[in-house]
Amino acid sequence: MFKRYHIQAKEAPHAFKRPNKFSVKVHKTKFVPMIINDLAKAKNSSELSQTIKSRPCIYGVYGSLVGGMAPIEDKCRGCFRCVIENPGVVDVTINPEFEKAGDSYFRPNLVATIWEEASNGKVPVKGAGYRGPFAGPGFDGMWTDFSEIVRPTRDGIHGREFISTEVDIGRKNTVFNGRANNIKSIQLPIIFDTPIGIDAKVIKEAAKKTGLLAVVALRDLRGLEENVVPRASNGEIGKIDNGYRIIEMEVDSVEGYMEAKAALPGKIVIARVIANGNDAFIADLAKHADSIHLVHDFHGFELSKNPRFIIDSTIAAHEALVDAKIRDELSLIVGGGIAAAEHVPKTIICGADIVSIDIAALVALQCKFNGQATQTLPSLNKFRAEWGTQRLVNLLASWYDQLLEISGAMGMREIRRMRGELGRAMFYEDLETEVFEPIFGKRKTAEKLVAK
Amino acid sequence: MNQTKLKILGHHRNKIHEGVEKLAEGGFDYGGALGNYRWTQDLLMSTWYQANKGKPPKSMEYKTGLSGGGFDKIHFKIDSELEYGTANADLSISLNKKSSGEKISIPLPVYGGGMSYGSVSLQVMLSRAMAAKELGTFTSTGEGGYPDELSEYKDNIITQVATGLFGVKEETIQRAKIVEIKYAQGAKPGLGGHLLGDKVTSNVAKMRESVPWVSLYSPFPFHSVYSVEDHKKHVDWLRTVNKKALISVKVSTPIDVDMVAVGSYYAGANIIQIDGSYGGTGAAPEIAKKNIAMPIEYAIPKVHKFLESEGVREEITIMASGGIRTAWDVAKAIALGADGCVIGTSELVALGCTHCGNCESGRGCPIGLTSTDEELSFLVDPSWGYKKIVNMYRSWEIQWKAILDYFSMKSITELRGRTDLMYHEDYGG
Repeated sequence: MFKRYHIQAKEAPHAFKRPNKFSVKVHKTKFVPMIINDLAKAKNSSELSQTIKSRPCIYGVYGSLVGGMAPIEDKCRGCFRCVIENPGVVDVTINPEFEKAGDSYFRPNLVATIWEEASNGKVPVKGAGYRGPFAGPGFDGMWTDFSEIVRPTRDGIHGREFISTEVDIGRKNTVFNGRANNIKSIQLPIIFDTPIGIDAKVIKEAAKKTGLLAVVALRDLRGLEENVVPRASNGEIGKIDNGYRIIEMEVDSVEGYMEAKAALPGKIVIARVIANGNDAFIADLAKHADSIHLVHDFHGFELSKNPRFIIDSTIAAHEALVDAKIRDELSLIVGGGIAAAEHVPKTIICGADIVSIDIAALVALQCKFNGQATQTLPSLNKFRAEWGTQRLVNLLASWYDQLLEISGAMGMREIRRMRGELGRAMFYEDLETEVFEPIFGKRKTAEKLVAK
Repeated sequence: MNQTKLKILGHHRNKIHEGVEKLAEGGFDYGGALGNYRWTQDLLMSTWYQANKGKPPKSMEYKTGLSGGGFDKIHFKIDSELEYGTANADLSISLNKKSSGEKISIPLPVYGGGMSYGSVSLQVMLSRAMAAKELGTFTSTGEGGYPDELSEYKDNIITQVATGLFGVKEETIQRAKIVEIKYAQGAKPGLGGHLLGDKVTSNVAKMRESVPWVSLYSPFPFHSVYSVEDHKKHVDWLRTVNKKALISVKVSTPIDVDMVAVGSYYAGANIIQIDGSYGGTGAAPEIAKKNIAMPIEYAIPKVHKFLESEGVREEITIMASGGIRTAWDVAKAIALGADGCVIGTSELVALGCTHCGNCESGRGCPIGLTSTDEELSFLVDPSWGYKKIVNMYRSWEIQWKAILDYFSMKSITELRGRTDLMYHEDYGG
């Protein structure tokens, strides 16, 4: 019987207090005379009582008995009604503690968004228009297309209820040759790439609950575990439990991969490759590999002297496989720097079949950043396993729904069709060149926007 | 509500009105907590100032925000201080360029964008309608029906027909001089509309013929439109219901927005409204607002030039929207190729909006703008609100006239497509 893929979100509130974005300061010397003045206007006890109860905040910042004498600033949502009603008496400012979250890539707003998604599994919805910069580095210089009339299907409210997000890992035959494809299908183009040294228990459990996969270093595994892809080097092949169907091998040469593949007959062997700008190597490797996992640093950059951002390296890898006429034969997994729901469809549009998430999972678990996490890990607080698992499940539920939003808007019925559809994306540089150069002349600075 | 409650709410209402005026005088700094890249503290406060005084401020940055791109980096080649209040010019634009149909002009190159009953309060709708009447322009109902209280202003109200057909009746289509078909909205292109259950009060539900307190989804797209031919049938259907009405087609900005525009021309539209991706909304997924569709600054020249190359530019009015915040944004949009602009958020800012983004949750806007809560809605007084909107536009008129005077133009229609009068900070080196 048909069963629709669904991720069950459940409330998993923050275990550690999140610094509120806003600070509220009431100037007591101005507040007291103001409140006395307000109360003096009351003509009877009923009005006096109503005046006392009536506070200029619908979120409860002044909800305590003493109201403005002790504002509950954690409830502040920055609406400024209290400031408007009492200019000079109340100040609302940005909480410096909020600004400390994350690093230069996982900016405070990104961290706050992941925490919110992990706590309730919902799609973040807000009113008013977009409030950010016009464009920005990396993913922020890319917009996705939509269609005015084309839908994935006319069934359901928006048609997105019937969008397939199923993808395959492994090698496929593109012509009929009598051999079965050696592939594993998963229901969402996202896998966990567990950083080494992390207790992978909740990540593995979240993968199991969602039917997805978690890549975990062999040294962090105890025997055969469900929904896990062991990550190993060639020297560790003998230690891999034969029950694993998919194995990720750290390789830096085609020969190394061939050796591993020969030692693991019948398995889906993913080649884990550090992104370093060697597109020719990717193309060579792809002639043999079941799948390639292209890994960037935690900020989405290649590990090379002139690193490209994940957008450019993914496009290059995808195009190298297209040029080699083998793009449809294997799956390309891309990871590093996936820090928001929007990064998933954008990376797929650039040519990935699947994206892997690393630090984002740790952020969902409320890790603490100790400076820049480009390659080193932020530290994790201790938490309950059940809570941690649900946080990750919620994150995936939220990102799944947001992937459907983007796909639905594009009129995509299958996520597979989004792969490499660069014609359905708009890049800041391209639009500037196409639209503004004919109007305003040559661009003064042609440097590309990159995430640093 | 009892008298005591009304008195207390009136007290808050007065404080809000007075507070907005006081803040608009400047001298307050909230360290980035008020405003954002697009609507900076200065833009918010200067709009409040203009809504109070009917003229631009002297000390605040009232022309651009800090988004670092688009309109915020495009400027007119003006090398001296403009003198405000002395110039005169014709600011009117035609909304029907076709040889057939009623000739409708508006005396200023803007009208109000669609905001539905439910997403905003009746008091806000009334404020906007009264302002439109005073100014001689239009405001749009959005998709949520046409409250009877607005019928007094019917000659200045555009009826919107959107995918959910909420509150759409032949009677209200027949009442309107302009009927707007909404295909997409810039803030959430391709996603349809969403009114959260908390805002679906009994009155809103009655108007929309739905169930109180149950969320409403306006599907995407029109399930009866698969092609440009279907689109034409749509336009024909509306013309059958109301033969006199001008038809406006509201679309957002996909890659092929130029093709979409020419399709609407083919379908017989009088107005094509292109709604850029950074436009306002009562509620939208954050992922949509930031990532789907292109900003209006790119879409305007694409559409304008393509319609020119197709030889049909003089037969259709292009109205730009989605991220148009100031008089200067309007002037730049026109110089990029639009005939005029459709304004939404700025009108709410004139009424005290802080662009905080809390419109969608619970009871809605804390100062009663995007709210249907009885108490919160009371915080907006239409007789106060319409004056604010009118004042803001009077200030904008002063600025447009000064810009036109600087370039020795007599009519704002002369500014259309004059990209040669502007420069971009990043270009021309």
